[in-house]
Amino acid sequence: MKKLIFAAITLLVGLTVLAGFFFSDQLGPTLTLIFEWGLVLVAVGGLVGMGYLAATHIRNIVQRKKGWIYSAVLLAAFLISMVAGFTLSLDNPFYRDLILNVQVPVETSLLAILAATLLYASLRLIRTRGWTPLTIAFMASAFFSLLFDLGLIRTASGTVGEQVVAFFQRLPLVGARGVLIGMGLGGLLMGLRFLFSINSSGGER
Amino acid sequence: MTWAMVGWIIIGLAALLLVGLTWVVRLRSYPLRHRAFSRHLNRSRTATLEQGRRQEIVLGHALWSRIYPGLGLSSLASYDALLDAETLADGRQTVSTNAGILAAFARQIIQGRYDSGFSEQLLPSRVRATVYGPTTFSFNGGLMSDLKMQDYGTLVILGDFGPESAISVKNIHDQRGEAFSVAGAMASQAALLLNVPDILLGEEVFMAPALFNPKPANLAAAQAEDLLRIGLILALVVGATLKAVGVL
Repeated sequence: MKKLIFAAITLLVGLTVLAGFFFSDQLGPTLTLIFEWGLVLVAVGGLVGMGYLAATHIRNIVQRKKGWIYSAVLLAAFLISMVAGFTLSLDNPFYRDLILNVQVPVETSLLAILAATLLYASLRLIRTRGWTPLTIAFMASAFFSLLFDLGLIRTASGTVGEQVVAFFQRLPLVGARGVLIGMGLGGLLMGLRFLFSINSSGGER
Repeated sequence: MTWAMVGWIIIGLAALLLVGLTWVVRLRSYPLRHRAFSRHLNRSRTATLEQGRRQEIVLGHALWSRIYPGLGLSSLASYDALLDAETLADGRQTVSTNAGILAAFARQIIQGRYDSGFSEQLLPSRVRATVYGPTTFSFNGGLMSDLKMQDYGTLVILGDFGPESAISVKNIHDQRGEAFSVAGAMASQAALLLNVPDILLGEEVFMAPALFNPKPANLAAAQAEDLLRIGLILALVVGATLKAVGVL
Protein backbone atom coordinates (compact mmCIF):
# COMPACT_ATOMS: atom_id res chain seq x y z
CA MET A 1 0.00 0.00 0.00
CA LYS A 2 2.83 2.35 1.00
CA LYS A 3 4.60 1.54 -2.26
CA LEU A 4 1.44 2.27 -4.28
CA ILE A 5 0.94 5.65 -2.63
CA PHE A 6 4.59 6.52 -3.25
CA ALA A 7 4.28 5.43 -6.92
CA ALA A 8 1.08 7.44 -7.37
CA ILE A 9 2.66 10.61 -5.92
CA THR A 10 5.76 10.17 -8.11
CA LEU A 11 3.65 9.68 -11.23
CA LEU A 12 1.38 12.62 -10.41
CA VAL A 13 4.25 15.03 -9.77
CA GLY A 14 6.21 13.78 -12.81
CA LEU A 15 3.26 14.08 -15.18
CA THR A 16 2.41 17.54 -13.81
CA VAL A 17 5.97 18.71 -14.50
CA LEU A 18 5.87 17.19 -18.01
CA ALA A 19 2.47 18.73 -18.71
CA GLY A 20 3.82 22.04 -17.42
CA PHE A 21 6.14 22.27 -20.41
CA PHE A 22 3.16 21.91 -22.76
CA PHE A 23 0.76 24.16 -20.87
CA SER A 24 3.16 26.60 -19.28
CA ASP A 25 0.51 29.37 -18.97
CA GLN A 26 -1.97 27.26 -17.02
CA LEU A 27 0.50 25.22 -14.96
CA GLY A 28 3.26 27.82 -14.52
CA PRO A 29 2.53 28.64 -10.84
CA THR A 30 2.18 24.93 -9.97
CA LEU A 31 5.51 24.17 -11.67
CA THR A 32 7.21 26.98 -9.73
CA LEU A 33 5.81 25.58 -6.48
CA ILE A 34 6.98 22.03 -7.31
CA PHE A 35 10.49 23.24 -8.24
CA GLU A 36 10.69 25.27 -5.02
CA TRP A 37 9.71 22.21 -2.98
CA GLY A 38 12.29 20.20 -4.89
CA LEU A 39 14.97 22.77 -4.13
CA VAL A 40 14.08 22.74 -0.43
CA LEU A 41 14.29 18.92 -0.39
CA VAL A 42 17.67 18.96 -2.16
CA ALA A 43 18.94 21.55 0.34
CA VAL A 44 17.74 19.34 3.20
CA GLY A 45 19.56 16.48 1.46
CA GLY A 46 22.73 18.61 1.61
CA LEU A 47 22.26 19.04 5.36
CA VAL A 48 21.72 15.30 5.71
CA GLY A 49 25.00 14.84 3.82
CA MET A 50 26.76 17.09 6.34
CA GLY A 51 25.26 14.91 9.06
CA TYR A 52 26.65 11.76 7.41
CA LEU A 53 30.06 13.42 7.07
CA ALA A 54 30.14 14.40 10.73
CA ALA A 55 28.76 11.04 11.90
CA THR A 56 31.37 9.07 9.92
CA HIS A 57 34.26 11.04 11.41
CA ILE A 58 32.84 11.06 14.95
CA ARG A 59 32.53 7.26 14.67
CA ASN A 60 36.17 7.06 13.49
CA ILE A 61 37.31 9.05 16.53
CA VAL A 62 35.15 7.17 19.04
CA GLN A 63 36.22 3.75 17.71
CA ARG A 64 39.87 4.92 17.41
CA LYS A 65 39.99 3.66 13.82
CA LYS A 66 43.20 3.90 11.82
CA GLY A 67 43.73 7.55 10.88
CA TRP A 68 41.30 8.88 13.49
CA ILE A 69 43.54 11.89 14.01
CA TYR A 70 42.71 13.05 10.45
CA SER A 71 39.03 12.80 11.32
CA ALA A 72 39.66 15.02 14.36
CA VAL A 73 41.47 17.58 12.16
CA LEU A 74 38.65 17.44 9.60
CA LEU A 75 35.96 17.97 12.23
CA ALA A 76 37.88 20.87 13.78
CA ALA A 77 38.34 22.51 10.35
CA PHE A 78 34.69 21.86 9.54
CA LEU A 79 33.53 23.49 12.79
CA ILE A 80 35.84 26.50 12.38
CA SER A 81 34.64 27.03 8.79
CA MET A 82 31.00 26.65 9.79
CA VAL A 83 31.21 29.00 12.78
CA ALA A 84 33.22 31.53 10.72
CA GLY A 85 30.67 31.27 7.89
CA PHE A 86 27.74 31.89 10.23
CA THR A 87 29.33 34.70 12.25
CA LEU A 88 31.42 36.55 9.67
CA SER A 89 29.28 36.15 6.52
CA LEU A 90 30.63 35.08 3.14
CA ASP A 91 31.80 38.60 2.17
CA ASN A 92 34.06 39.04 5.17
CA PRO A 93 37.74 39.47 4.05
CA PHE A 94 39.02 37.06 6.75
CA TYR A 95 36.57 34.36 5.69
CA ARG A 96 37.37 34.88 2.02
CA ASP A 97 41.11 34.65 2.83
CA LEU A 98 40.46 31.44 4.76
CA ILE A 99 38.84 29.93 1.70
CA LEU A 100 41.16 31.38 -0.93
CA ASN A 101 44.41 30.66 0.95
CA VAL A 102 43.56 27.19 2.22
CA GLN A 103 40.84 25.47 0.23
CA VAL A 104 41.77 26.65 -3.27
CA PRO A 105 45.51 25.73 -3.03
CA VAL A 106 44.62 22.32 -1.58
CA GLU A 107 42.19 21.65 -4.43
CA THR A 108 44.75 22.89 -6.96
CA SER A 109 47.31 20.45 -5.56
CA LEU A 110 44.82 17.65 -6.22
CA LEU A 111 44.57 18.85 -9.82
CA ALA A 112 48.36 18.59 -10.05
CA ILE A 113 48.17 15.01 -8.74
CA LEU A 114 45.47 14.32 -11.33
CA ALA A 115 47.65 15.63 -14.16
CA ALA A 116 50.54 13.41 -13.06
CA THR A 117 48.22 10.39 -12.65
CA LEU A 118 46.74 10.86 -16.12
CA LEU A 119 50.16 11.28 -17.71
CA TYR A 120 51.38 8.09 -16.02
CA ALA A 121 48.21 6.21 -17.00
CA SER A 122 48.39 7.35 -20.62
CA LEU A 123 52.01 6.15 -20.84
CA ARG A 124 50.86 2.75 -19.57
CA LEU A 125 47.74 2.60 -21.75
CA ILE A 126 48.94 -0.26 -23.96
CA ARG A 127 50.15 -2.27 -20.96
CA THR A 128 46.76 -1.78 -19.24
CA ARG A 129 44.44 -2.43 -22.15
CA GLY A 130 46.63 -4.06 -24.82
CA TRP A 131 46.69 -3.33 -28.57
CA THR A 132 42.98 -3.10 -29.38
CA PRO A 133 41.14 -1.01 -31.99
CA LEU A 134 39.88 1.15 -29.10
CA THR A 135 43.34 1.94 -27.70
CA ILE A 136 44.79 2.58 -31.17
CA ALA A 137 41.89 4.90 -32.04
CA PHE A 138 42.20 6.62 -28.66
CA MET A 139 45.94 7.25 -29.06
CA ALA A 140 45.60 8.34 -32.68
CA SER A 141 42.79 10.78 -31.89
CA ALA A 142 44.70 12.17 -28.89
CA PHE A 143 47.82 12.63 -31.04
CA PHE A 144 46.01 14.30 -33.94
CA SER A 145 43.93 16.52 -31.64
CA LEU A 146 47.12 17.76 -29.98
CA LEU A 147 48.76 18.24 -33.37
CA PHE A 148 45.88 20.22 -34.85
CA ASP A 149 45.38 22.29 -31.70
CA LEU A 150 49.02 23.39 -31.85
CA GLY A 151 48.15 25.37 -34.96
CA LEU A 152 51.36 24.34 -36.75
CA ILE A 153 49.53 22.99 -39.80
CA ARG A 154 48.52 25.96 -41.90
CA THR A 155 46.74 25.73 -45.24
CA ALA A 156 45.67 28.34 -47.74
CA SER A 157 42.01 29.28 -47.59
CA GLY A 158 39.70 27.65 -50.12
CA THR A 159 41.97 24.65 -50.69
CA VAL A 160 41.28 20.95 -50.18
CA GLY A 161 43.91 20.96 -47.39
CA GLU A 162 41.86 23.46 -45.44
CA GLN A 163 38.77 21.28 -45.80
CA VAL A 164 40.70 18.23 -44.59
CA VAL A 165 42.09 20.06 -41.52
CA ALA A 166 38.62 21.44 -40.73
CA PHE A 167 37.20 17.92 -41.02
CA PHE A 168 39.68 16.51 -38.51
CA GLN A 169 39.12 19.47 -36.17
CA ARG A 170 35.38 18.82 -36.27
CA LEU A 171 35.69 15.11 -35.44
CA PRO A 172 35.84 15.48 -31.60
CA LEU A 173 32.68 17.62 -31.72
CA VAL A 174 30.94 15.00 -33.87
CA GLY A 175 31.96 12.23 -31.46
CA ALA A 176 30.83 14.25 -28.45
CA ARG A 177 27.45 14.88 -30.09
CA GLY A 178 27.02 11.18 -30.78
CA VAL A 179 27.82 10.31 -27.16
CA LEU A 180 25.50 13.03 -25.85
CA ILE A 181 22.60 11.85 -28.04
CA GLY A 182 23.04 8.31 -26.66
CA MET A 183 23.33 9.65 -23.12
CA GLY A 184 20.21 11.76 -23.68
CA LEU A 185 18.19 8.70 -24.73
CA GLY A 186 19.51 6.70 -21.79
CA GLY A 187 18.73 9.57 -19.40
CA LEU A 188 15.22 9.88 -20.82
CA LEU A 189 14.50 6.19 -20.26
CA MET A 190 16.02 6.29 -16.79
CA GLY A 191 13.75 9.22 -15.89
CA LEU A 192 10.71 7.36 -17.23
CA ARG A 193 11.67 4.25 -15.22
CA PHE A 194 11.58 6.27 -12.01
CA LEU A 195 8.45 8.13 -13.13
CA PHE A 196 6.56 4.86 -13.72
CA SER A 197 8.02 3.43 -10.47
CA ILE A 198 9.77 0.60 -12.32
CA ASN A 199 12.75 1.77 -10.26
CA SER A 200 12.42 3.60 -7.01
CA SER A 201 14.80 5.86 -5.11
CA GLY A 202 14.03 3.68 -2.09
CA GLY A 203 15.22 0.62 -3.95
CA GLU A 204 13.67 -2.77 -4.61
CA ARG A 205 12.31 -4.51 -1.50
CA MET B 1 6.85 20.45 -37.03
CA THR B 2 8.98 22.13 -34.35
CA TRP B 3 11.95 20.62 -32.47
CA ALA B 4 9.86 20.60 -29.29
CA MET B 5 7.30 18.40 -31.04
CA VAL B 6 10.05 16.03 -32.21
CA GLY B 7 11.20 15.84 -28.59
CA TRP B 8 7.71 15.00 -27.37
CA ILE B 9 7.32 12.31 -30.03
CA ILE B 10 10.56 10.69 -28.80
CA ILE B 11 9.40 10.93 -25.16
CA GLY B 12 6.04 9.39 -26.09
CA LEU B 13 7.67 6.57 -28.05
CA ALA B 14 10.09 5.89 -25.20
CA ALA B 15 7.23 5.74 -22.69
CA LEU B 16 5.19 3.41 -24.90
CA LEU B 17 8.15 1.09 -25.52
CA LEU B 18 9.07 0.99 -21.85
CA VAL B 19 5.51 0.31 -20.66
CA GLY B 20 4.93 -2.29 -23.39
CA LEU B 21 8.17 -4.19 -22.82
CA THR B 22 7.91 -4.01 -19.01
CA TRP B 23 4.29 -4.91 -18.37
CA VAL B 24 2.99 -6.45 -21.62
CA VAL B 25 5.86 -8.42 -23.19
CA ARG B 26 7.74 -9.19 -19.89
CA LEU B 27 11.12 -10.20 -21.33
CA ARG B 28 12.77 -13.27 -19.84
CA SER B 29 16.06 -12.87 -21.67
CA TYR B 30 17.80 -10.33 -23.87
CA PRO B 31 21.26 -10.59 -25.45
CA LEU B 32 22.96 -7.79 -23.52
CA ARG B 33 26.35 -6.50 -24.64
CA HIS B 34 29.33 -6.36 -22.26
CA ARG B 35 28.46 -9.44 -20.25
CA ALA B 36 32.20 -9.81 -19.60
CA PHE B 37 32.01 -6.61 -17.55
CA SER B 38 29.45 -8.05 -15.12
CA ARG B 39 31.32 -11.38 -15.05
CA HIS B 40 34.57 -9.65 -14.05
CA LEU B 41 32.77 -7.51 -11.50
CA ASN B 42 31.06 -10.52 -9.91
CA ARG B 43 34.36 -12.38 -9.76
CA SER B 44 36.10 -9.42 -8.14
CA ARG B 45 33.31 -8.88 -5.60
CA THR B 46 33.27 -12.58 -4.70
CA ALA B 47 37.06 -12.56 -4.20
CA THR B 48 36.77 -9.41 -2.09
CA LEU B 49 34.12 -11.03 0.11
CA GLU B 50 36.10 -14.26 0.48
CA GLN B 51 39.30 -12.41 1.37
CA GLY B 52 37.48 -10.36 4.00
CA ARG B 53 38.26 -7.10 2.22
CA ARG B 54 35.97 -4.13 1.72
CA GLN B 55 34.03 -2.91 -1.35
CA GLU B 56 33.69 0.77 -2.19
CA ILE B 57 30.79 1.94 -4.35
CA VAL B 58 30.93 5.58 -5.41
CA LEU B 59 27.65 7.15 -6.55
CA GLY B 60 28.92 10.28 -8.24
CA HIS B 61 28.80 13.98 -7.52
CA ALA B 62 25.22 14.92 -8.30
CA LEU B 63 21.70 13.57 -8.48
CA TRP B 64 20.96 15.88 -11.41
CA SER B 65 23.00 17.98 -13.81
CA ARG B 66 22.01 19.89 -16.94
CA ILE B 67 24.35 18.01 -19.33
CA TYR B 68 23.81 14.53 -17.86
CA PRO B 69 20.34 14.64 -16.27
CA GLY B 70 19.86 10.88 -15.87
CA LEU B 71 23.19 9.88 -14.36
CA GLY B 72 22.32 10.37 -10.69
CA LEU B 73 19.20 8.22 -11.05
CA SER B 74 21.21 5.71 -13.06
CA SER B 75 23.74 5.38 -10.23
CA LEU B 76 20.91 4.71 -7.76
CA ALA B 77 19.32 2.09 -10.06
CA SER B 78 22.71 0.43 -10.59
CA TYR B 79 23.46 0.41 -6.87
CA ASP B 80 20.05 -1.08 -6.17
CA ALA B 81 20.87 -3.87 -8.64
CA LEU B 82 24.34 -4.40 -7.12
CA LEU B 83 23.29 -4.74 -3.50
CA ASP B 84 22.96 -8.49 -2.98
CA ALA B 85 22.25 -10.59 0.11
CA GLU B 86 25.90 -11.71 0.52
CA THR B 87 27.12 -8.12 0.65
CA LEU B 88 24.38 -7.16 3.11
CA ALA B 89 25.27 -10.08 5.38
CA ASP B 90 29.00 -9.35 5.12
CA GLY B 91 28.49 -5.63 5.71
CA ARG B 92 31.96 -4.62 4.52
CA GLN B 93 30.81 -2.20 1.87
CA THR B 94 30.90 1.58 1.85
CA VAL B 95 28.66 3.61 -0.44
CA SER B 96 29.94 7.13 -0.85
CA THR B 97 28.98 10.30 -2.67
CA ASN B 98 29.43 14.02 -2.14
CA ALA B 99 25.76 14.82 -2.71
CA GLY B 100 23.76 14.54 0.50
CA ILE B 101 20.57 13.68 -1.38
CA LEU B 102 22.26 10.67 -3.08
CA ALA B 103 23.58 9.51 0.30
CA ALA B 104 20.08 9.77 1.75
CA PHE B 105 18.62 7.68 -1.11
CA ALA B 106 21.44 5.12 -0.84
CA ARG B 107 20.77 4.79 2.88
CA GLN B 108 17.08 4.28 2.11
CA ILE B 109 17.96 1.45 -0.31
CA ILE B 110 20.25 -0.21 2.26
CA GLN B 111 17.76 0.19 5.12
CA GLY B 112 14.96 -1.22 2.97
CA ARG B 113 16.98 -4.36 2.25
CA TYR B 114 17.94 -4.87 5.88
CA ASP B 115 14.33 -4.35 6.95
CA SER B 116 13.14 -7.04 4.54
CA GLY B 117 14.98 -10.05 5.91
CA PHE B 118 17.98 -9.43 8.16
CA SER B 119 18.21 -9.48 11.90
CA GLU B 120 20.51 -6.63 12.84
CA GLN B 121 21.63 -8.41 16.02
CA LEU B 122 23.21 -11.21 13.95
CA LEU B 123 25.22 -8.91 11.69
CA PRO B 124 28.85 -8.14 12.58
CA SER B 125 28.76 -4.89 10.57
CA ARG B 126 26.42 -3.08 8.24
CA VAL B 127 26.72 -1.57 4.78
CA ARG B 128 26.95 2.18 5.27
CA ALA B 129 26.31 5.26 3.17
CA THR B 130 28.80 8.04 3.75
CA VAL B 131 29.80 11.48 2.48
CA TYR B 132 33.58 11.98 2.40
CA GLY B 133 33.32 15.66 1.59
CA PRO B 134 30.76 18.15 0.30
CA THR B 135 32.77 19.35 -2.73
CA THR B 136 34.28 17.39 -5.61
CA PHE B 137 37.86 17.68 -4.42
CA SER B 138 37.19 17.33 -0.69
CA PHE B 139 35.25 14.17 -1.54
CA ASN B 140 38.19 12.82 -3.52
CA GLY B 141 40.56 13.71 -0.69
CA GLY B 142 38.40 11.72 1.72
CA LEU B 143 38.00 8.82 -0.69
CA MET B 144 41.75 8.64 -1.36
CA SER B 145 42.49 8.61 2.34
CA ASP B 146 39.90 5.89 3.06
CA LEU B 147 41.18 3.75 0.19
CA LYS B 148 44.68 4.02 1.67
CA MET B 149 43.71 3.33 5.29
CA GLN B 150 41.32 0.43 4.86
CA ASP B 151 41.75 -2.78 2.90
CA TYR B 152 39.60 -2.38 -0.21
CA GLY B 153 39.41 -5.08 -2.88
CA THR B 154 36.82 -3.64 -5.28
CA LEU B 155 36.00 -0.09 -6.31
CA VAL B 156 32.91 0.57 -8.45
CA ILE B 157 32.49 4.06 -9.85
CA LEU B 158 28.90 4.90 -10.81
CA GLY B 159 27.18 8.09 -11.95
CA ASP B 160 28.27 11.63 -12.67
CA PHE B 161 32.01 12.20 -12.22
CA GLY B 162 34.83 14.40 -13.39
CA PRO B 163 38.32 13.34 -14.50
CA GLU B 164 39.49 13.41 -10.86
CA SER B 165 37.99 9.92 -10.43
CA ALA B 166 41.22 8.61 -12.04
CA ILE B 167 43.11 9.40 -8.80
CA SER B 168 41.03 7.00 -6.72
CA VAL B 169 41.59 4.27 -9.34
CA LYS B 170 45.35 4.68 -8.90
CA ASN B 171 44.85 4.22 -5.14
CA ILE B 172 42.84 1.01 -5.46
CA HIS B 173 45.41 -0.40 -7.90
CA ASP B 174 48.16 0.41 -5.37
CA GLN B 175 46.21 -1.76 -2.88
CA ARG B 176 46.07 -4.63 -5.42
CA GLY B 177 42.36 -4.09 -5.77
CA GLU B 178 40.27 -3.81 -8.92
CA ALA B 179 38.32 -0.85 -10.29
CA PHE B 180 35.19 -0.91 -12.42
CA SER B 181 33.81 2.17 -14.09
CA VAL B 182 30.19 2.96 -14.91
CA ALA B 183 30.84 6.72 -14.77
CA GLY B 184 28.82 8.60 -17.34
CA ALA B 185 30.41 12.00 -17.91
CA MET B 186 32.66 12.19 -20.97
CA ALA B 187 35.57 13.76 -19.05
CA SER B 188 35.58 10.93 -16.53
CA GLN B 189 35.25 8.28 -19.24
CA ALA B 190 38.25 9.68 -21.12
CA ALA B 191 40.32 9.72 -17.92
CA LEU B 192 39.18 6.31 -16.71
CA LEU B 193 39.64 4.63 -20.09
CA LEU B 194 43.38 5.02 -19.50
CA ASN B 195 43.62 2.94 -16.36
CA VAL B 196 40.41 0.94 -15.91
CA PRO B 197 40.24 -2.22 -18.04
CA ASP B 198 36.56 -2.81 -17.19
CA ILE B 199 34.66 0.26 -18.26
CA LEU B 200 31.23 1.02 -19.74
CA LEU B 201 31.32 3.93 -22.20
CA GLY B 202 28.71 6.43 -23.38
CA GLU B 203 25.11 5.33 -23.15
CA GLU B 204 26.22 1.84 -22.05
CA VAL B 205 26.19 3.15 -18.47
CA PHE B 206 22.38 3.09 -18.53
CA MET B 207 22.54 -0.62 -19.32
CA ALA B 208 24.35 -1.32 -16.02
CA PRO B 209 21.25 -2.20 -13.93
CA ALA B 210 20.35 -4.91 -16.49
CA LEU B 211 23.92 -6.25 -16.42
CA PHE B 212 24.05 -6.35 -12.61
CA ASN B 213 20.56 -7.77 -12.13
CA PRO B 214 18.98 -9.15 -15.34
CA LYS B 215 15.39 -9.13 -14.07
CA PRO B 216 12.62 -8.54 -16.68
CA ALA B 217 12.11 -4.85 -15.82
CA ASN B 218 15.81 -4.05 -16.27
CA LEU B 219 16.02 -6.09 -19.50
CA ALA B 220 12.94 -4.26 -20.83
CA ALA B 221 14.61 -0.90 -20.24
CA ALA B 222 17.80 -2.07 -21.98
CA GLN B 223 15.84 -3.28 -25.00
CA ALA B 224 13.71 -0.13 -25.14
CA GLU B 225 16.91 1.93 -25.16
CA ASP B 226 18.40 -0.17 -27.97
CA LEU B 227 15.24 0.07 -30.09
CA LEU B 228 15.04 3.83 -29.60
CA ARG B 229 18.69 4.18 -30.52
CA ILE B 230 18.23 2.17 -33.73
CA GLY B 231 15.19 4.30 -34.60
CA LEU B 232 17.12 7.50 -33.99
CA ILE B 233 20.09 6.32 -36.07
CA LEU B 234 17.76 5.48 -38.96
CA ALA B 235 16.00 8.84 -38.61
CA LEU B 236 19.36 10.67 -38.67
CA VAL B 237 20.56 8.75 -41.76
CA VAL B 238 17.27 9.26 -43.62
CA GLY B 239 17.14 12.92 -42.60
CA ALA B 240 20.74 13.54 -43.70
CA THR B 241 20.10 11.77 -47.05
CA LEU B 242 16.93 13.75 -47.71
CA LYS B 243 18.75 16.96 -46.82
CA ALA B 244 21.63 16.04 -49.14
CA VAL B 245 19.33 15.41 -52.10
CA GLY B 246 17.43 18.62 -51.43
CA VAL B 247 14.07 17.19 -50.31
CA LEU B 248 14.25 18.72 -46.80
